[in-house]
Formats: sequence, C-alpha cells, structure tokens
Amino acid sequence: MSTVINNNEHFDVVIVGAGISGAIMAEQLGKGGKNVLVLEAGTGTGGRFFSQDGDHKDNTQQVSSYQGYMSTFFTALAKIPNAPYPQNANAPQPLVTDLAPIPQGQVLDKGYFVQKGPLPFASTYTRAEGGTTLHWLGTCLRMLPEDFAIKTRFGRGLDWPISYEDLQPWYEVAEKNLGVSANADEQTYRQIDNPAVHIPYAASYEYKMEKIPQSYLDQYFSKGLAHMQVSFEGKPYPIDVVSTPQARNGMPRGDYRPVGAVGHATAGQRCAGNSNCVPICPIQAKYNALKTLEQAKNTGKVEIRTQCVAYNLETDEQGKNIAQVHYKKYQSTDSPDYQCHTVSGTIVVLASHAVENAKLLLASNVANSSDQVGRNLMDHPTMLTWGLMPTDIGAFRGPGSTSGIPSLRGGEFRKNRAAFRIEIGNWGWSWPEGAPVGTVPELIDEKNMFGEQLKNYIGSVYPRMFRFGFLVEQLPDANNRVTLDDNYRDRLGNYRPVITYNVTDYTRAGMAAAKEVSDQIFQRLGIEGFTEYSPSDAGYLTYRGEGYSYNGAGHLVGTHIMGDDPKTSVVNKYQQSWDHPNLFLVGCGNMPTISTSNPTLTMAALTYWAAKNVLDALTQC
Amino acid sequence: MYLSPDKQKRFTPITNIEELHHQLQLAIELEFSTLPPYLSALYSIKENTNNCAYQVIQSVVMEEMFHLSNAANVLIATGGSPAINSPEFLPSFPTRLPDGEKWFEVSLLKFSPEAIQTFKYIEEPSENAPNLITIGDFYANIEKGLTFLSETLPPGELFPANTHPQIAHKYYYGGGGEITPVTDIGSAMFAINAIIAQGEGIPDRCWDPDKPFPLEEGTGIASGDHQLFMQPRELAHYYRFDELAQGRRYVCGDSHNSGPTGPQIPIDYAQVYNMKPNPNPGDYAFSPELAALDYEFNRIFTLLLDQLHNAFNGDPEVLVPAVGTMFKLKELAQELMRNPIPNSPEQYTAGPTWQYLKG
Repeated sequence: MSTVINNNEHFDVVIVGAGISGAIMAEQLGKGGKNVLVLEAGTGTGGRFFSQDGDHKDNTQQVSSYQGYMSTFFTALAKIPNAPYPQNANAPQPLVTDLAPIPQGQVLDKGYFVQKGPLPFASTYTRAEGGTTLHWLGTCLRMLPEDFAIKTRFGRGLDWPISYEDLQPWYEVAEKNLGVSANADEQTYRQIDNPAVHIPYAASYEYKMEKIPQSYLDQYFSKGLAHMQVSFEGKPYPIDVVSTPQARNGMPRGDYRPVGAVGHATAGQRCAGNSNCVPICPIQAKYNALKTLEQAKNTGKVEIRTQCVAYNLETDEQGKNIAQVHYKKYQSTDSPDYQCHTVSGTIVVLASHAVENAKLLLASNVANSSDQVGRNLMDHPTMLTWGLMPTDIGAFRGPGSTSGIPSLRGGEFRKNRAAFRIEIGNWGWSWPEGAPVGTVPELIDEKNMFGEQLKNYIGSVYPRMFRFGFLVEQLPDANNRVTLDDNYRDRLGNYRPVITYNVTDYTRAGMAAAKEVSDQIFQRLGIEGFTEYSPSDAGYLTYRGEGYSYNGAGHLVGTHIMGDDPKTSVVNKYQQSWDHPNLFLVGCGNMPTISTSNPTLTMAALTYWAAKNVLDALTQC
Repeated sequence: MYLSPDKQKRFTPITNIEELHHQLQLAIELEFSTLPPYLSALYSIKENTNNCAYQVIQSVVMEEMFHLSNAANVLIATGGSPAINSPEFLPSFPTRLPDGEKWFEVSLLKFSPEAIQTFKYIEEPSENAPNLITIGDFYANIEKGLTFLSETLPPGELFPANTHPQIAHKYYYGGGGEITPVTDIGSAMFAINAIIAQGEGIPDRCWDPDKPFPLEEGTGIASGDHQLFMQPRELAHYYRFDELAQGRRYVCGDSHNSGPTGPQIPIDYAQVYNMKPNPNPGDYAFSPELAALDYEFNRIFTLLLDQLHNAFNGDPEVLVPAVGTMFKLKELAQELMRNPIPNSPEQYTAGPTWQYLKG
C-alpha cells in the first residue's frame, strides 16, 4: 500500500545512506554550514544508548537503542556479524547463514542476495543507521603505494586515478577522526626487509592514540617467527609480525580526546577487551559511524531520516543533473506499508554501500554510460587455517586481532599471483568452528564429556586454539557484478541484488601460496593443524588439484569504480559521476582495486576528500 | 565551596603541610572506601538485567576512581606519597566513612533500595544537610587549608619540584572526567572542586532547591558539569542515585524539590544475586570452596592495591596491567555471588569480603 507525497523539500545536499561514508559526508558538510538530509533505509537508535522506554524487552519490539542491540545479541542463537541488528524485511540485508554452495547452473536465493555463482559472494553488510561499522573489527590499514598502480607495475588489475601521495593527507584526517590507535614508526613497515611494502608517512606524523597492546599470542609469534623467511619465485621474503592499527580507543597522545559512546558519554572509554568487537562492542570503545552521525547532528545542519529507502534517482529533462530522489518511508518493520516521498538536493551523494549504491544506480538507469555500474565487485576471499598451539597462548582474549603479518602484502610475485595479508586471530577457533559457544555442545553430546573431564578438556585445549586469516587480493573483474532482475524484489517492491561471482586463478594461486606459508609457520612453531576444507563449504574451490575454502571478509569493493576515463569508470578522481555533475558517489564502491588492506580507512580517507570536493562544487553552484 | 562556621568547628583546620597530607590521605581512603559498597551492589546485578542501574553505578564508580586520582595528584604535587597497600587502608564493613560522618553507616549490600539509600547518604549535598557533615564539607575544609597554605608558604614549599609522576589523562578518560596535572594552587583547587561538583553537584552556596537543574532539553540524562570536565552533561551522583531510588529520570524543569518527573527507569530487584549483607571470611568457614574463592578474590584485590600503590608512587605505567586486574576482580566477585552459602536460612549467596592480605 502506498501513497505519494511530494513535499517539494530541497536541501543543499541529500545523502543516501547513514553508514560511515554517509556519516563522514554529513558531518563535514554540516560543519561547512550546508543543509543536509540523510536518508537511511534501515532503522536507527536515535542517538540513544538505552531505549527511551527503558530496557529492551524482546525481539518483537523494535530495537531502538544501542543496549537494545546488545540484548538482541545476547539472545541470538547464532552470533553472526548481523546478530545484534534488526532483521528488517523492508530493508533486508545479507547474512552469512544464508550462504551455501551453489549447484551448477542453479541460483541461490535463500537470503537477500540472489546468487548466480558459479561461486557464492560470501560477504555481508548491515542496513541500519551506523551501517557496517556496527559490526566491523576496526582494522585501519593504509594501502601500499604500489597498490595504486598495479596495472603499471604488474600488468594486473587497474590503476587508480590518484596516487598514495594524493591520499596521504586524507589518511591522516581519517585516522584522527576515526580515532585510530597505532604507532607510526611500526606502520611504515620500514623494519620489514621487503621494500615493496614500505609505506611513507609524513615527517614526524604520529597517530592520535598509542597502539593497542599486542596480545600474548602476538608476542609468542613475534619471538617464534623471528628471522623466518619464505621463498617465492626464487626470492626470499621475510615473515614479520606487526601490530595492526585499529579504530579502537587506546591511550591518547597529548591533548587528543577520543569520542565517547553515543547516548552514554561515560561508556566508550578505553578498549576493555570485551572479546566481541564483532558483532558489537558493548562499550563503544570501537569506532562506529553512530559517533560521527552524532557529531553531524550537533552541527545543527543535518537531519537524519531513518526507515527511508531511496529507490529512484530522477534526472532533469536534459538527463544531466539528478533532480529528485524518490524514497519510500515505512512506519514499522512489521508492516510493508509505506509512503512515497521525493526530495531534491543541489548535490546528491550516494553513500549506501557498494552493492546498494550499484542497485540504486541501476534501478534508476543513471550514471552508467560506461556500463561499469555493478561491475568489478571484489572482496578479500579469506582463507583460514587453524590449529592447536603446543602451549597455552591465552586464546579468546582482547580484540579480535591485534597483529598481523604484512610482509607479503607486496612484491614482484604480484605479476603472477595475488598478494595477501595474514591476520593473527585472538579468538581461537571462533571463526572456523564457532568456538567456544558452538563447539562445547559437541563435546557433551558427541564425545560424552561431563564434569571434571569436560572442564579439564576445555581448560587444556581452548586456550591453545589458534587461527590465521589470509586476506587474499582479488582483481577487478567486469564479470563479477551486481545486476537487477524483475523477478527478485523485496517486501517494499525494491530490487534485490543479483550477484554473479567467481574467483580467478590469480587469486586461487594466492590462496595456494598462503597455505604454503601457513604450513611452514605451523611446522616451525609445532602447531598441530586442524584446518579442513570441505566440498560442502560454501566457498570451496580447487586450484591445481588441491581444495581450499574462502570466507567473506565483509570488504565489498568495486561496483562504481573511479578512473581517468569516462568510458571505463563510473566516477572521476573527485568521486563525481562522469555522467551527472551534481551526483557524487562515496564508499568502497569507488575503489578500482582491493589489494590487501581492509578497505574502510581508505574509503574514509576518500570520503573526507570527497566532502571537500562537494563543498567546492557547492561554492561554484 | 563555602563551609559554614558551624560546620568548620567540627574539622581540624589545616595549618601545615603534614596536616594537609594527612587529610589528603584520608580523602584517598574515603574515595576508596566507597568502592566495595558500590561494586558489591554493581556486581550483584545479574548479567544483562537492570541495564540503566548498572550503568549508573558503574559510571559513579569510575568517577570515584577519578576523585581518588585527583586527591592523590594533589597529595603527590604537594610532596606526599599516597599509601594504599595496607590492611589499615581498608575499613571493615559495616563502617563509618573515614572523613568524620557519624550519621550513617555503610554496609556491603546487594543492589537493593537499602543500598541505594546508603549511596544517597554517601553523596548527600552539603546544602541538604546543614547540620550534618558531608563529603563535600570534608573537601571544603581541604580547600580552605590549601588556600591558607598557599597564602602563608612560599610556592616551592607547598608545590615542590621532583615529586612522583602524577596520574596522567592518558591512563584515564571517558569515565569520569578530565585529569589535569596539579602544579599550583589553581590546579589543586580545580582538582578538589571537581570531586565536590561531581559528587554533590552543587558547589555553590546560592543554591535554590526549586531552581531547575541545568539539564539538556528533553534528554533527562545529563546535567551541569561538562565545561568543568570536558564531558557531556550529567547529573551529580546524589541525583543519579535518586533517579534509581525513585525509578524515574530527571528531565528539563525538574528541581531538587520536584524530584524526577521524567520517564520511568525499569528496575527489577528480583534479577539480583541474594548476596549476604557484609560478608566476611567467617561466613565461609564450613565451605572450603567458597573460602578458597574468597581467598582468591582477596589475593587479586591485594594485587590491585599493590598495583595502585605503585602507580601512585612513581610508576604510573602499572595502571595498564591494573585494568586487567580489575576485570579479574569482577569475575571472581560474580562467581562468589552466583554460589549459595550452604545452610543459609535466608538463602544468601556468597560475596567478596574485600580484604588486603598481608605478606
């Protein structure tokens, strides 16, 4: 049921999406004195830590506070990344539990995504105010200089229209505003004997907070892997453990003051190692976009409307500018009833995540003269290896990961196969096996353990659990794409994303190399391997006769890439649509390649830059 | 803060540095002595219930630690050394507070109306209690002494160089306020005033109990101290506890005399472990498991006091591992509270006994 209301509302800027890039854009523009409207498809918290009517009571009641999310999380049987957040048929979201192998020639349409394969796209995102930062891990790595030019350097993928040097000042802005904890002298990777990975920082630059203390496990690895090398194509590469920069409150340097929790300023203090950054940090020590949205609202210039799903962008008569944004406003997640509204903006910014941006552009048939909208969808196919350490390494403590092995992120081997970054997981076998919640029942039900025996087993085995995550590079591929199909609609009648996806041999070769490195490390440290890749895994694939499995990293990149040429890219380096001068696209969709860094920091840096470009464009209007 | 002549008579005036140090050491003991009662009530709340109450008590605890650090920094800045790791540092409960209030007793209680009433007594604003000694009065006497000494002693004597390093902001933020270094009379007065303002919330004798609190529009959660402490506005402790006592939020337009008129705060006293009031080691004489658990709690508590002592006596870096110790303490406290005391007619559960173990 729908009615159409045209309020003739006009704003300086209409932003679609209240995740991190929408939040950054809104805050920057609000600070710049512009009238901004943010449309968010999902529900919101209204800036509340507690529900207005007290504690959240049950799952049928609409969750409207951060603590309400916590309650939902506590009662959820499967603690998946989206477990704390509303499942909302009016703004559905993909779930990892929807994943399954795709039988040849068939379509997997169990969840929100319609997956045409041949392999499933394994990553998810969150459609709610705050976006996927509600459940991210907070990893904030910069890209390598060579990542911006892999076509030129290695004959692979695409070059960016900008260089590392162009983005470097914006990295600093993003690191400050997201509250990244790290030590710059470590993050240059100068200490690593592989010049390909060295990252230049501005002279005397320092992060605003000291690095998050590395776990005991990290230190164990540092010692055990000291001076280790592996060999690729006859060339030795070092294996070095380095702490990972994280958007998580640590100890501030100098006068820096971290932002408190939204709706509860005395929460949001230093990371207390609650061990569930994913899916939700109970105290908001981890950055989430609600914080930036709060700052945006505090400018007095920004209005956020939740439960408003943008579904069509209408151009002016010349087909040049975006004249109207059409959206459906629903009152309740329990009902498919909605009203249609239109608003206009001098400038329109799409910030609704790579897949959703592409969907809206395709549904509106705009910005696609290049035929690149929806294409080049990338992720980090993440291969896990896991095992038992010979000794107690204190698993299941602290943030999900505090260190990694970045020394294989770059090198000449990228001519032939994908690079990868190794993440050292602090939470035992939680990812591959669902430990401890998912594995203890098995001990009881199948191994018949109880009492002292069960206790002793848990006490001796669980603290030794360990896993690596290998974030393997994927190249832009025009055939990996989001399309629309009239047969697949959600409850409001909006399109569901139809995804075609595969993993090329370039990436598969990277997975094979990663497995080799893992085997060597396991051998060196005496780790008992329990890694198992089964054809029944959703992300199972083979390379040269060996089987591997990948998981989604939640890093959705591509779909409206930036470039130098309007014929082959969707936006220019200012992140402005080639086709529509008043349309800016932001988010990971702009990134022409994914390389080996988690993309959020780079995306945030790009968005701070885009915000400046939007402000400049408004001055010229 | 203003201290009436009547009240001033009940305090020893501070006229020399030794007396100042003694009073500041008492202040540290006073701040710390509120922690076992607050934490016992806090940890007795079952996981994921009574969220609002949990957050209120937790935030007050954080601010008590902030107060303790402020008092310690003033003591350090004036050349003293906080003494924290000794059995004498801790009261045995039930107790009177160490700053001279004789009109109420503090017990270790589970989260309950009685506990909240005690908390309100602890945080009672001086203006509410013209004939009683409050914590604010105690600090007003210290302020008076500081002013006197700064007027009579050369600055190098009151604030000597080469004292222990103070607790810096980087160790402590987001939970209570902005720690500023104490270097002179101005910063010392600021640090002490921060304690009074957060606890009693009314550092001003021109107080009208019918005048609305400076609350943010509509939120009902915040009030008057953000400029002082660089944090969003929130009510003083007394009024935050009063919110729990009355089960309602203070909102815009509310005053002391109106009480809170805002949204209800859901409180469920059934979702609380039935901790024995003022548990002591003797309660566990017939349960070796509980005795062992309580001993382990006190061992960790002793470690925490040792760490805090070292942090305040030259080695602030120790505050980093001390955070982990605090979490262990919470785990052990809750483990005690989940376990019934055998043969208890009241069906009490155990609770931590908060003892410093010697040697």
